[in-house]
Amino acid sequence: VLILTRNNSFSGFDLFNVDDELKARVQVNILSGTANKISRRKRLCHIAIVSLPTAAVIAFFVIQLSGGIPIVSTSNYAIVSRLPFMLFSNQNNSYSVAKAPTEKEFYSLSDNIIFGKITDFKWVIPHNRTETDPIAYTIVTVSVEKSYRGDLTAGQSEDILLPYFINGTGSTSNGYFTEDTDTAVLLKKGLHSFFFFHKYSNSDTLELSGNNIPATQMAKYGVRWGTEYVVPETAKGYLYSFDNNGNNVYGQELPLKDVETAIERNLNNQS
Amino acid sequence: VEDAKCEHDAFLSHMLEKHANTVYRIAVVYTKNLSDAEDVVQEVFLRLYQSNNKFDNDEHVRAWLIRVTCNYCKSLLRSPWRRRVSTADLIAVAEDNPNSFSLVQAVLALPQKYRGSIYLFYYEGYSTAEIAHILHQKEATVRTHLARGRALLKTNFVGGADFDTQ
Repeated sequence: VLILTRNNSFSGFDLFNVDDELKARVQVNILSGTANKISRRKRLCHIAIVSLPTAAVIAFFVIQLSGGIPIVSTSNYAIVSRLPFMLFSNQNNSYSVAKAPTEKEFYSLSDNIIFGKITDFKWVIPHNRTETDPIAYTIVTVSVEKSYRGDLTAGQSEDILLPYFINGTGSTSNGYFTEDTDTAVLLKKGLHSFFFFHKYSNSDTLELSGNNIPATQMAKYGVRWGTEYVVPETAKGYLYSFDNNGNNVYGQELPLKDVETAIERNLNNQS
Repeated sequence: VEDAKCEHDAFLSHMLEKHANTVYRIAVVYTKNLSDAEDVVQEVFLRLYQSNNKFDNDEHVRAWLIRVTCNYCKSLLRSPWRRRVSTADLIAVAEDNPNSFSLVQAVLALPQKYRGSIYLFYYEGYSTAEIAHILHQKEATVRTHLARGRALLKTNFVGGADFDTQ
């Protein structure tokens, strides 16, 4: 067993010496101010490294407390949530279910009508989103190919908010769907669709985490809900929700040309 | 003013000559990296040059340098963006001096909080009270660090080791 004593047993540290070249370099750097510049630069980097994440955390909490937009992430699809039926089976539905608009109302509520290609999705999801408080929104980016009404023009790219998830009475047997789920599941990047939407005013608000926040914080434009206001491409045509007599016909698939004819007819009738 | 600057420059030169090795070795003990240790030497002597401290004597300067070195190394090690330590240069030293380096390696393998106390006690020859004063720690803490460091060295040192703790 080696008995370790002070100094002599630890003589291995003698191997570490500052040679004359290093001493001279340190001295020159200090006296010329170079060392000071390097030191200050390191300190600034250190401050930035420490302060930037701290600022990000503070900003995150400020946004949370002020009821701002919690998360916006990108995705290939619209967000679609299907709730287990049991969650609502013994609960009074406190949400009012909007009456489907007539064709005339539908067109008067749509101050922008475009045809375009979906290029991106962003989701707005509250951090405290739960199964019983599932409100979330999808912002779809559309590259406009044709504009029938409104201030957008072909070639523009614009964000439109889809108000999924809207709580409401679903229509299928095994789940409690949003009103728009059946349309939302069809949307994906690269898909063509007609969008009937309106420009948000400063007084428009959307519910998020129990707070009503200005809709304009999320997007400039929004559809009122998915069915009818979004007319996506399917294998057989486009899901246009009115027949020639102006009646609601959910699930009707029309060729692109017929949808355009219906749009033009309604716009002519209104003008 | 010119005379005072010359005197200050001469003081730096003198201190570098006298204490650079101590600062460098402590920096090696903490950072385990020779190029980091060189940076520490420059930073610590820059702080000495810029400080307005009035030192009573040479021992006072030495204690100040050791404290600044330890603190600076600790802050360097805390930085999340510090580059990954390369031990290549230390390995090169070890290969050239296999006998005398084995204990150094064992000390460097200790947890950071024990390394400083072990080095200052066994190599620099400071008492526990002096180490406590230099590092601004309680003497009991220094004793604990020494005891735990020794215990780990006994376990880890190849061939076994025991200590003359006087």
